[in-house]
Amino acid sequence: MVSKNTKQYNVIIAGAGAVGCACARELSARGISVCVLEKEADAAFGISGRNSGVLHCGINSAPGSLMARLCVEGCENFDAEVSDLGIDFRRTGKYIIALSPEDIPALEALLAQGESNGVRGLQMISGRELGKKLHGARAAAAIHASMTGIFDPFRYTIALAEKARSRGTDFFFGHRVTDVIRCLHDPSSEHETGRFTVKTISPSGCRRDFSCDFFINSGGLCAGEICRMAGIEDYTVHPCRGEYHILDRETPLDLPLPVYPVPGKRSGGLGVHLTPSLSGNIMIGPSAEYLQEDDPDQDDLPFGENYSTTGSVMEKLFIEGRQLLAGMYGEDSSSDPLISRKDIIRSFSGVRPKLTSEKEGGFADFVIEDRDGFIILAGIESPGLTASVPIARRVSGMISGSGVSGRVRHDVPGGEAGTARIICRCESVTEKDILDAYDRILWLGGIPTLKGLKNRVRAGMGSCQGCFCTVNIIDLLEKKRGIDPLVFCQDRLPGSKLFAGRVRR
Amino acid sequence: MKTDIIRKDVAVIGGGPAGMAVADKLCDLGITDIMLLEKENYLGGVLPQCIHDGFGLIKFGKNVSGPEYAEIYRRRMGEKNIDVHLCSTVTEVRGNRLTVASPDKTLAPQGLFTLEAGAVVLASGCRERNRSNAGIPGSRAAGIYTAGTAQAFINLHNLMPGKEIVILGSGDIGLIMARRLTLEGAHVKCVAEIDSVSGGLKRNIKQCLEDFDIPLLLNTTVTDVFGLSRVTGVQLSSMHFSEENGVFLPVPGTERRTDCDTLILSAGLIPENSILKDIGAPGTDVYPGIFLCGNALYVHGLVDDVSDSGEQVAKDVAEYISAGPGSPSASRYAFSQANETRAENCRFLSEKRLKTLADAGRKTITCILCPNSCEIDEDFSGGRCPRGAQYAREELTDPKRILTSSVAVDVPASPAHPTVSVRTSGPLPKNRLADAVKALKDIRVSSPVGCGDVIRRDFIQKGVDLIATGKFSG
Repeated sequence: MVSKNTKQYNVIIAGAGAVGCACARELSARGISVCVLEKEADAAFGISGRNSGVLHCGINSAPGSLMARLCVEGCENFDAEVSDLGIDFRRTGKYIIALSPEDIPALEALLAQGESNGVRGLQMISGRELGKKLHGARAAAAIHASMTGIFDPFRYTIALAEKARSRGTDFFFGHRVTDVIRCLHDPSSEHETGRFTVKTISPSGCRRDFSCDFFINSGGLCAGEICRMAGIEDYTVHPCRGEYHILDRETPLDLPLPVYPVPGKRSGGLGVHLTPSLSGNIMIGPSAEYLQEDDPDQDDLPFGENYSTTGSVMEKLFIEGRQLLAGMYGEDSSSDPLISRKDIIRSFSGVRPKLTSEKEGGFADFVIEDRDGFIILAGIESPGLTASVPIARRVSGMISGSGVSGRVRHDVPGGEAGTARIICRCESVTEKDILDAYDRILWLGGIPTLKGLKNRVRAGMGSCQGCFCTVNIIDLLEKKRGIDPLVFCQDRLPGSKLFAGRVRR
Repeated sequence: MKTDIIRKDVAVIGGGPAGMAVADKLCDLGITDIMLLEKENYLGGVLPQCIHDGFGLIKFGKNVSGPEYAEIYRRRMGEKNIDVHLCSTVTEVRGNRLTVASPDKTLAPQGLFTLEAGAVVLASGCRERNRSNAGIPGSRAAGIYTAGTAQAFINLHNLMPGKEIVILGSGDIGLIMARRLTLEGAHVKCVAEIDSVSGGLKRNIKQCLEDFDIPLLLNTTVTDVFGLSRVTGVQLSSMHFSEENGVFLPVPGTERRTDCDTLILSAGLIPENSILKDIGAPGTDVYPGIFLCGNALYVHGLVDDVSDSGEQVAKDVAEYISAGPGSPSASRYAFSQANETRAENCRFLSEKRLKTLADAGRKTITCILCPNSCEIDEDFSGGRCPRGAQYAREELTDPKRILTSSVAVDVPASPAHPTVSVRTSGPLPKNRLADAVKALKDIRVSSPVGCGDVIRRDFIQKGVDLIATGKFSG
């Protein structure tokens, strides 16, 4: 039964990560009416915003897999995406290094795999050549992969969302999908009903129904759960956490490109690596630890969304990162360490939505499957960010219908001149940057949060991690946008409030 | 677009106690061609948020609060016509050339202007060691603040960070915040300190923790943080120092959970001088007219010492200018000397730590009248001045405290909730502090309020007034 106030769309997408937003952009460009339902307050709050920010070349994926094909396609075509989205990107290349001669056979196998995947720009180089190219780095051998690059995953995902929005996509944030019901068409009904009714709940408990002809399950960590809502029991997501350290930009290390070790066969990740970001920070990570449902540390966290960091992994990452750096900079591990714990400005984690269990290990291929209008995108882990646009193109091919294309909205906020006062000194973010970001979150349909602002303009991502600018941001939003600080959230809705009350009434 | 370069004898970066002292002293020495750059929209640095008393005893011979201390210098800036630029952030220092982001449309039509100065004094203060610097694992939920950030919210923006509090680190800001939060009705469950001795002033341990029965847990740190959206608790563990690894390690089996909604970190301060990163390493051949002072050089314990550092550097800068810019300076505040000056300070600090450790067991009364924190023995000896013995006698019979807090300002038809900082003109009986805070909650003053205005005569006790220490207009 569909009530009159049920919103109807051609396509509903669950999840405003990179893949969901890429699908929305692709479909709305065809004039199809699209709606994105996202349980969090903003785009890129999940997997898409918690990773290395690397454009992968496709060397690591199994030959013949979707992962390999779509990753190579995404990597080859990324320059065009970058210019369409107006974001920064640097094709830095990367090194995969064999630290000891025992790793060379694995490195050779990796090279062969990459070549059979059709990856261009791969080259095996000797340890000596590596040393010449990378300030005296010491290794037995290395692969240089010239197609690899780095970009800002927040801005990428948000730019996809904004493109979709400007083509008429409706975003509903704070809308968690609770049920997807396949409807039997009732010819006697006076309402035009879609094939699916989608039920949602907001953090405050408000329920709302939507209806559509095609449902795209791009739910990331929730993809398995959303499948089960529609009676599909085939996919179980095994959340596998990866922790990272971010080093202060002031650390006097120059890392021009990502450096990876040879990945272990059964490891669910690519191994702890060093990645520079466009902003000039070095990231160490990620680890790969499967989350356990009965973990006492799980506390009141929903399974799979535990973004905590752990003392033992933090220490392990620091030690491994320091060793990798020492090797790379040709330093004796006995000499002055290149980095100290004080250089870490932030530790964070992301969770991979793996389809392989801890016992199975390794990688399963991406699932892109059309079950009669219910499209499953499951197991979109690394290199999902790189493959996001090719995935969206495939999905688009599964969806029939068209509309009047080109309904471009010209009301994107921002752009007019404003004050140059800097309120985040570490990242040189101005008042105007903050207010524009705030307005654009609202324009997208999002709920402004401290994290949402930070992801857009980097306020609070620098050396001080927001010790100074948080105060200024709260004050600015209160004065210029009438925001009550008592209801403003850090990230999660509705509980991540920053304050307990007023000191004086 | 080409913009004109502004030239000055001296550029001072930072309008806190150090920077204002530099400008003030330079004027006295006859150097008046100065530009003072401050990133916030007020002068004083952190002083306006440090509403507690204990400042000025060395510099001015009187006990004042942070806002009052700032006001003394702020007035001098006005009297001496110092060229002060607020909301102006230096984004780059290259030699003696600064790039400044400024909202001043005449100075910086495109938002930036270039300033070339004979001498540059960095007085940019320090920043707080954050959660990741301190290596604290666990949830990334809301409710984790550095002490200074929490202090700014409470004292400048009328916002309570939480109700059930654990404080990590017993530096002075942590101790001061423990008292402030407690007086405002929050429950400070403990102050944990990883070291076997607190780095805070002894008088602060007494008047901020002991007065309110807040436990100080030495050799203890936070080893995990719980909570999905907002902090729900922390794990505390006992720690021991591993000489072998040079780090503190948890003692297995000592982990215990403490429920709280807020974790406040007072885990140390870091001099904020990264703006100089592009000019070269200290000791190398860089532009000689670059100086550092106050907490940008190294972290000082007292604001009086910070001002002093500003005055000292002003003398060296005056000398440098009169010798003709470009000649090397042997000043301990010169950029080239920074590493030696910091090493000297480290030696001083480790000696101080050893002395505190040695004194830890003594049964004494800590005099809280000044930062000397003299230990008065049972026979009333041990004070460096006669007030020590007098204080100890009073503390045994009729303990008294100055109250520092804030009151609401009435601004009709405004959605904002401004407050102004206040203190009592003299000490109140310690057991009346809670009543006094209760009375403060009902007070509403009308705008404008000036620093020094009497808000209530005979507040709680005859002869003690409630006076504004900050100011508000608008």
